[in-house]
Amino acid sequence: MIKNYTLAAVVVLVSFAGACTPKIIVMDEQTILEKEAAGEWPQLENLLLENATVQGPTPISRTAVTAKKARLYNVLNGGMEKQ
Amino acid sequence: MNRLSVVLVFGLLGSTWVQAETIVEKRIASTRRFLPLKKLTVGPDDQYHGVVDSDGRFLVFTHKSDLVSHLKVQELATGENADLLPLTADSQEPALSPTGMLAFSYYKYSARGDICYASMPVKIGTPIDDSKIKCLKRGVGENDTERGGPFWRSSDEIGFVTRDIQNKIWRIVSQNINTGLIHVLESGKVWSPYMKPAGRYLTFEQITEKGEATRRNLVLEDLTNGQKKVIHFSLPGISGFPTISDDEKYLYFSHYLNDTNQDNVIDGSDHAVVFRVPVQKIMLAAENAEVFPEQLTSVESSCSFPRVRADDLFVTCAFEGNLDIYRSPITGIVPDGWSKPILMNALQTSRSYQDRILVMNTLKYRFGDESFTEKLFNNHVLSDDTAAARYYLSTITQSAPAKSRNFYALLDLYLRIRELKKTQPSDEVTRELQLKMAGFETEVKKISSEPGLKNVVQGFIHAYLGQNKAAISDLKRVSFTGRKVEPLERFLHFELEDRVNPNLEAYRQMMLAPELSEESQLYYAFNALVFLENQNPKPGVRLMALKKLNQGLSKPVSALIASEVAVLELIQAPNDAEKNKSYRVLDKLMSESRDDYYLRKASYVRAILNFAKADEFNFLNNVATNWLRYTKDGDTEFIYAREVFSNSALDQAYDNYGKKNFNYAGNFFYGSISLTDDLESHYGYIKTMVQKGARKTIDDRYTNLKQREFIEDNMKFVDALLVVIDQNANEKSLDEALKSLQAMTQDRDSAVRYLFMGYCHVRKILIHNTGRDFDQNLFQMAHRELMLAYDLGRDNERIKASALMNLGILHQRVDNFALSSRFFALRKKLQFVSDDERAQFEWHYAHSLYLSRDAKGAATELSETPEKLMSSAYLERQAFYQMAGAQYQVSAKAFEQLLRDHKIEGTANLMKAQMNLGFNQFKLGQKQNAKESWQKALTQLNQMNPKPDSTEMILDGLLAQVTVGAEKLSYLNRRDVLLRNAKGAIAEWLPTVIQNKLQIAQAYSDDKNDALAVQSFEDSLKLAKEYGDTNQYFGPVIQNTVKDYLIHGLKHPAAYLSQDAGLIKQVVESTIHTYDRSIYEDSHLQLQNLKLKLLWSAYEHKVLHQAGGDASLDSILNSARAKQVKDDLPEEFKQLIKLKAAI
Repeated sequence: MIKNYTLAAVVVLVSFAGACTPKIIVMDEQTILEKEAAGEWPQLENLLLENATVQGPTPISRTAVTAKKARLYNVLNGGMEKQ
Repeated sequence: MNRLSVVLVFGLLGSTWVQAETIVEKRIASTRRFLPLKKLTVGPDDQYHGVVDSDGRFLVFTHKSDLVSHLKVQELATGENADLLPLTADSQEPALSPTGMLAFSYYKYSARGDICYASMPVKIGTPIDDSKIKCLKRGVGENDTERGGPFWRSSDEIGFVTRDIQNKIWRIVSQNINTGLIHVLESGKVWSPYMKPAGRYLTFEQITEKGEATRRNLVLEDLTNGQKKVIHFSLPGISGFPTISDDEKYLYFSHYLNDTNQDNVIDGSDHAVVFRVPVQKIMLAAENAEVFPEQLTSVESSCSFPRVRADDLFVTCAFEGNLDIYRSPITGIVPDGWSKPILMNALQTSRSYQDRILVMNTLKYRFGDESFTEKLFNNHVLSDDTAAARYYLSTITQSAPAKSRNFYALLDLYLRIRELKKTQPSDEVTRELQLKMAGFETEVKKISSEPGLKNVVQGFIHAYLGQNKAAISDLKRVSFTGRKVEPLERFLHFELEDRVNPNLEAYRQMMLAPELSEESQLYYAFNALVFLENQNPKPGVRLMALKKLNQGLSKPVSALIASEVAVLELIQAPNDAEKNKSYRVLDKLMSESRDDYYLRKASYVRAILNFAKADEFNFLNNVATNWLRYTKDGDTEFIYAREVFSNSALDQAYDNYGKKNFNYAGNFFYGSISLTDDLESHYGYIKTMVQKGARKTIDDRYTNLKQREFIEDNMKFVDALLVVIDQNANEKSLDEALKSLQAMTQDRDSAVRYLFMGYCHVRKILIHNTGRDFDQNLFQMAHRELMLAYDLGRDNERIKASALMNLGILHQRVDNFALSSRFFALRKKLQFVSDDERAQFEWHYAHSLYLSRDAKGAATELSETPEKLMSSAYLERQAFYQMAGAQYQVSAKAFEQLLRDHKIEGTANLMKAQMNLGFNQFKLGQKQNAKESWQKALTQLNQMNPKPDSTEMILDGLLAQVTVGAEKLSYLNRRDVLLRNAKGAIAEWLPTVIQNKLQIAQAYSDDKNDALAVQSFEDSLKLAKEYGDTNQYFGPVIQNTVKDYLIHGLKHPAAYLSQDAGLIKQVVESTIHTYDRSIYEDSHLQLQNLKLKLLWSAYEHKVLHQAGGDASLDSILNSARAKQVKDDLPEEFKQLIKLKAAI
């Protein structure tokens, strides 16, 4: 589907403007296309990456009742012994 | 082993030698509860068959991942583990000798398994070298026998099982590792042997057959006198995996007690339970007499494969997702110091029928209380475990008076009918089911008394045949007035009615039933409240129904209904004053019911669940506080009340945190710390205090906690977190934190600790972000820690959410995009705390989806970002993903909109948006619009400094597709110059240059400029030769170049008259030669070669005026190769015929 574009894009695998001895890295079509055609938002991306990693539990206010919690609230039927 | 675990595992209730350190540890240690199993191995794979060396230092076990099993070793003190054997072959079933020798089943030399052995390494880290592994030799004719189940008979003899499948001979033998001498210990259908090295007893499993009946039993053999006992346990189900304690006083074994998978058979697919029984009890039992063993674990934890070392019992359990190895005291999870009253208390406070069965079995074993048989039967009926229920029913029936026989016969019929129903995969009524039910119906009719229960059982038959109306008629024929009613009849009557005609009145009848205990009446009242709620969750509607329901009920049942009314009125109250008024009513009811355990529990649970749904966390917390306050320390309910309170405190804390009430949140987290000292509360407290700008207070509070002995080892976690926060997660702080976290002992296996360690390692990887390189070691550690956090935090949504987010980011960073997407997909199922968090998540998830070749999915995912946070960057990225996902129409529209609204910032981004818009237009067939967009992009590109040559080449290539003549040539020629200057910077540089050159040649040809076309074809041919001479004659680059050249020559022979034919001859012959010699007998490849041969033959004849012509072409098409192609690819072969005709 995007073959024409990537065929055009596939020629460049790294930007070589101004580089003395550029390093060649083989990249897949998605990476090349993203590099050449997707907008660059470095500040936003850095901020998003910075905030994405979490040190501890996510402070979700209401959590689903897990099996462990549900067990705590189990009410059982009494004995059914013969009279 | 960490200190807390020592307390938990060995700290039996009431023991005076408990050595807890902090106040919290002391409190936990003094709480009456089942002793928790201590988890030794952690997922994500299966780990089982654990054995421990005689020093208690190493645990050796089988690790299974992706169907590959091999032995690993773990140092018990540190948890550090490593491969024990080379990964080049499967290994399993470890057995250790007291002298430090390891025996195991090994599959390196035989798929049927060998018994091999080696010395245990002194320290772990490097697998045992293959050269140090020795295997027991097989005798003549033994090559096809299976070997397994090794055990040490003595320090130089290994016992094991051999199975000659062909001749159906199974034996337990021992073989001397020095002499090779084999000694047969047992024959028959025997397996799973065990004996203590140099011990007195051998135990194993055995199948005995009498006629068509087969029995599976454990056997215990005294090797000193040959006395052999086939063991019969007075339990339902089957036994397996026997082992013997170090002092040879007890036999431990697994037992499948219940039909947990509901397939009507108790077998190895069900949950296992570990039992033990004194060896003397077995040896002294009369022939065929049953012995009653001691239950050590609960059905719910599904533990098997026991191994004993000193005072520890090691078992493999399957209740936390995977198989893992756990440790328990040798006396099991019910503390051996518990008196009969404490056990009766535990029975009352049980949370499941399985727990009740464990306590009843304990009472029966420890105090010889035989009165529990009927209770055991009832509890199996209540948990719908028909197989075990029938076992106990047969025992009861044997001693039942004659007048009760029919009652029990009907119960047995009900259990059989129920069993049959459970085997049906759906509610479909098959002919077979009808026939079998008809048989049962005849049996029911034969019973001459018990008309009430007869109707109920008949009703079940009708119900299971889908005849609900008939079942309802059966129920109507049952009258409970004027006669003695058995509780089980009442129970089954309700079960049937609830199935065919569920209604509130049926619950009310159970609440009023005089033959039911108060506990049962409250149980049905509780379920009536649930039934009402499910019918209509609106408090107003429920209140009306409840007021009607609460008439003529016993005092406790009425109090439960009144509590529910007070709770619902509170929820409905319009203001705080009214809410408090309702709460006072509830509080009074709770105070009055404090001595009635069943009422108290039922009303608290209802209140908590109602308040949780209505977000009334303040009142929920009050109820939880009362629950704790009205439960005495020595009560086995205390541990549950404490957990309810702790959950409630955390829920309150998080609720306030979410509402940014940091003062309240901090107080609740701090309250939880005082109660639990758990890492989640510490983390929440510190984060909250930092949020409210009270960093200094944290230090003061923790100094105080330390002085009061509320925290000790967990201070390492606090220090680690604080250093990372204070130093903004720089690398130095991360290293310092990791050092502190690694030194932790108390909560070493806490999911929160692993989560934080994983975070530190992910951050380190991100800090060292150097292109696509990353530290493999850091990655491995981060992955393991985060997986452990996820595994251990299975019951904690908050931990799971964080672990999954970190895993998604980690794998995105190391280019595992598919796995990253999978982690993000799991994270998405959990909740988000804010729109910001959701937007941030969508960006990352969409990115991973795109990079794992799902651009359309990425665009859809990004569209789930909250609308108000769809910034220009999000809109642009969404349009890009749409374009990459071939959604050209929507993508074009989005880029147009973005450009029109001037939302794109920066020349580079503007240029890209323009280029992408052009690409969408091109794909939509709007060539002129595409050309204009790309020309605008080129203009913007020329304004950039530095100008990325790569993009210019792309634009030149794109523009060449929508232009003709001189304009097209100008783009292609400029691209040619840029490409030639890029030598060394592009992988596959030469093929790209050749391809561009061919396009130039074609463009000149289209422009009728034959001279320049020929020149360009010549240039591309020279480059092709250069490329071909690097062993690249095979493939489309040379094929295309040569074919294009030859076709042009055939079309314009005059233009080639003056060309030197040497170069084309050389390249063509090299190409044909390469294909002719190819090792690939692929007809598709040969088809291409035949085309080339035809073109070359025609070229030789028409352009070079050499002999040939049709005869030559015919000989090519009649060659052996051509015939092969014709046979393999008849349709494609027609292309050759057409080509011949054309040339």
